[in-house]
Amino acid sequence: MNRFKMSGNGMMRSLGVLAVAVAMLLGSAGTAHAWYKVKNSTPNTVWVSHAYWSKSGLGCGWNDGCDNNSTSGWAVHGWWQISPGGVAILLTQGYSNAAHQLFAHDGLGHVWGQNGFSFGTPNTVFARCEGLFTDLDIPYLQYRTIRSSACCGIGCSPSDFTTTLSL
Amino acid sequence: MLRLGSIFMLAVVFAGTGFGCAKRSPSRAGGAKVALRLGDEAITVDDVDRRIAPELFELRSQAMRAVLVDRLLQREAQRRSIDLAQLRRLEVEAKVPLPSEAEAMAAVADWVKAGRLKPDEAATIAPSLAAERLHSVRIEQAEEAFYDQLMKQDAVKVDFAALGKPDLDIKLDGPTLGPADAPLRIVEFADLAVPFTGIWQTTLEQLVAKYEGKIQFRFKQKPSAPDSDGAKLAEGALCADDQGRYWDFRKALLGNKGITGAAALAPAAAAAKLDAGAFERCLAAGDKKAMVAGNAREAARNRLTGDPVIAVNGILLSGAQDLATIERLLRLESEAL
Repeated sequence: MNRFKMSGNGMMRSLGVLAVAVAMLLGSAGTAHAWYKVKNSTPNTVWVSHAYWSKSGLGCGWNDGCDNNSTSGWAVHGWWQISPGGVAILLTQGYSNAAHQLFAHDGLGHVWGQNGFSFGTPNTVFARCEGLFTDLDIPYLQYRTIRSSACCGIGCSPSDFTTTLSL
Repeated sequence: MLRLGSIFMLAVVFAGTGFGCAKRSPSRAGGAKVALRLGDEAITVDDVDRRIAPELFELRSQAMRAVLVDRLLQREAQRRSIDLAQLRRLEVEAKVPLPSEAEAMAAVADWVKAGRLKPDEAATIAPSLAAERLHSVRIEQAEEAFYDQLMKQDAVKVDFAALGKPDLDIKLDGPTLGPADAPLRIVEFADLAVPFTGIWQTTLEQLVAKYEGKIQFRFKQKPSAPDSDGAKLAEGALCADDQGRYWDFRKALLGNKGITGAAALAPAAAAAKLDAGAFERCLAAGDKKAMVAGNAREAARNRLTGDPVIAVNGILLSGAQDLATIERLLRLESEAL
């Protein structure tokens, strides 16, 4: 994050925090918080969006029940603008037992995504994309799966995780 | 960097998620919200937040930025009695014509030269596509410039302390540039061996030239590992500082694109006109290892992530920032600029 220039909706959500607290009380090892971060290891500014899906239940990760703008069960956040060498926090809650997908681009033609998974986010989710990728003629932003954990239940503790983008 | 429509959308998303979920009234201890009770002991949200202060501040700053831009645009659209789409067309799209193909291909050549695009990638870009990409880049710049204009016009003031700006736990050691009583302070934690520091150096030199006397720069070391090239270059830079020539040494080091790693020490020392013998003795004695290690520990203790990390009056920025971003923050921090 380019912290100051980032435009997005990084949010703390009550149930996620509660899940972490409960996991802590139940004796989980590790920190009482977990960060999902993206590092930009390219010489270009990149823009990132993040999609994730998670099962319900305090013992099995978390689900805030507030899906926005995407296929049911998925939530999409963005855009984060990250300077060369910069790191942005994308997610701040327990993200165990969740599928995470990432889409990123740098405006010069480098795109991180499109690995064949079926989940796609209509461009209309991010008005920012209108016209930007007309040269690619893609109706959807195709996200790349970056982490999917089977961790579930007592003893499951989220850990910090960083995805690095490079050319 | 958002288009206007998405700014509006994100504002709706922000209002409609997270905080709209289940809410419970927290109990309080001496006015503070209690997050946890252990027998008679009450642990407050503030106690918990202290563990995650840097990240919390970052997230709040991110959200604030989105809210701020949203509000500025809405106010301006209302002022002109037009909608956001019209505002965007007038202030962004109309001011950024599609570049010529020749101009665009020249930009592509520049991107390749700067390592931002690989030559084989550039070879596949048709002139019309290059023009579209350059146009997109300029649209983004125009959007940011418009946000800056609105921020100046509406006299935006941000209380970073209220957002929870954490105090950095660092020693005021290491090389400096600029007066000690300067109203603004920029502290840099950098690994001199990584290319991002070289990108940031361009911005840094612009700042040094433009704000002479108004900013004190402090340079801290953040090598990736104790035995890394970055650690050796950091020691060299501190040895150069002993001779009062840190800045000259650094400019020579980062300006030398042909030689990397420890091999770059001697040419940079020569270019900075250091006393070669004293420089070699300083390196051989290992006198600077402790300071380099201490700086690295400070970076870790403060959970500084990114290459480099820049603190503008204590407000952290991750990565190689451009001049516009730093200036935006400087303006918020000082009316003297």
